[in-house]
Amino acid sequence: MKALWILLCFVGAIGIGLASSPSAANAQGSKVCLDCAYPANFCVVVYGGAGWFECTNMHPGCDFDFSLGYCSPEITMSSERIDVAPDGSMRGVAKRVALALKSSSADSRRSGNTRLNVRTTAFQGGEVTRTCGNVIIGRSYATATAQKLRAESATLVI
Amino acid sequence: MLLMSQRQLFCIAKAGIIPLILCTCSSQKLVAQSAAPSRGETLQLVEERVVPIIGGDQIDGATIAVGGTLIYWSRSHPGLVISRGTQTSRICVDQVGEPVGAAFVRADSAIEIVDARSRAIWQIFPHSDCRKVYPIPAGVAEILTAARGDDGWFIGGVDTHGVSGLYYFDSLRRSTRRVLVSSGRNGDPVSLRRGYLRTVGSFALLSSLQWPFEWERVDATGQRSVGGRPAGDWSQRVVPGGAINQTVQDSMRYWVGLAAMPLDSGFVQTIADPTSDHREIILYAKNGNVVRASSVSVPLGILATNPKSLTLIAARDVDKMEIVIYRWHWVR
Repeated sequence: MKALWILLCFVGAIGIGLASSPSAANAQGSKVCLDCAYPANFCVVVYGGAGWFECTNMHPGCDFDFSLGYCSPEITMSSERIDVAPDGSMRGVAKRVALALKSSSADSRRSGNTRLNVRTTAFQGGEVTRTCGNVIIGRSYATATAQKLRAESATLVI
Repeated sequence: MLLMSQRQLFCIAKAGIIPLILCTCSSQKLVAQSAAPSRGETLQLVEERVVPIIGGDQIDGATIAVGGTLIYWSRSHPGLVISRGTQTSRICVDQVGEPVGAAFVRADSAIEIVDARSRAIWQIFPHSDCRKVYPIPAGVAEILTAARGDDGWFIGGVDTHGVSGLYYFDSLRRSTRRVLVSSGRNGDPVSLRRGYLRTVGSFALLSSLQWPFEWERVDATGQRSVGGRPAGDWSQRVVPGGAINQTVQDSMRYWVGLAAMPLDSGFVQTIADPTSDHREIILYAKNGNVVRASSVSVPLGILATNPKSLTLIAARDVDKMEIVIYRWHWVR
């Protein structure tokens, strides 16, 4: 009987490990977003008050699940919806955010309504502020760049 | 930031005095405002003032009165913000929980607001509180967006069966009817879950955010008339030589289209590459044909226009979202 319990615990631990891995998260995201036009594994960066996170398979108007950034605490967001910000960039609207730290159990999760801004990892504007390996996960505009952009758009000719 | 009472703001709004800033470039000649855009004329936007967003970076819509009073709103913040110069205030906070559209009415002397939370149209006059003027019928299960035409509100909504469509609230008859149903195909402008609603006169302007960024003009009976499809002429221009290879076409499929807006003559629309600051601003003739597209390398999108005052409102996000108010001129 004791051997059976050990075996069950061992199988359970493997299951939890697989479920929390990035590849599992990607697979889940791809599945949810199958009807969307974006290619699978299209990466975006989400930034908001809580910091920078990487996630997958976002598309404007697409309901999806995604998970986790390599450099961030383990974060799972569910029932996300990506909107287009009025300036033409993308932003995410988190209907439910569950923060699950690696060592935490289910009852330590917390959820709430959060709105996050989204830009793709391939985003070309601004300056790089943070990287994770070869992946750019943070961009911002330096003061000089922001001033230049404002000056360039003071008069537009169409 | 100086906060003013609603009464003060309306008084100033009614005064309606704004210094007109004109471009004085000697080599350019200003064209009469009724001129139609043609090959020889360009649309020049001159920045008049910048309004920082209060309450974070949240903004879903904005409109401006002829006198220069600006209102903007976000679904995630109750009420709406009214701004005149550097003076700003939030109004109808207790009554309007989730604003999806607002407009100046009665010669800009009052404001109407469509609220998705209370499922009603609210109205506020200078010397009174926000009051409910019409409930949205229960048949509209979800209210997505709203824009006011000359004689009533166009409302983008979803019915109890999950079908999205366009509804019209007739202000005179005080009745609501559905005028269009979404086909369900990708890129259908009527699918307002993935699109935009604006108005021009008594017409609605529906735009899809997805390739090929179609837009169309619809009247209160559902009759479609003028429409634009920028991915034709515009994409030919974006790719040198006119030939669109598959790679470029595929990449443009992931761009997003913002709302088409009316000018005093013709229409204007922003198409955005969400992976960069690259924006294409498309100018259309009255019949919906593309006149010209211009590249801009600034994270900027056109939010609203007021053809009566030749004013255009854009959202610009250089780490901080702000509203830029432009005055437009036709230049030959």
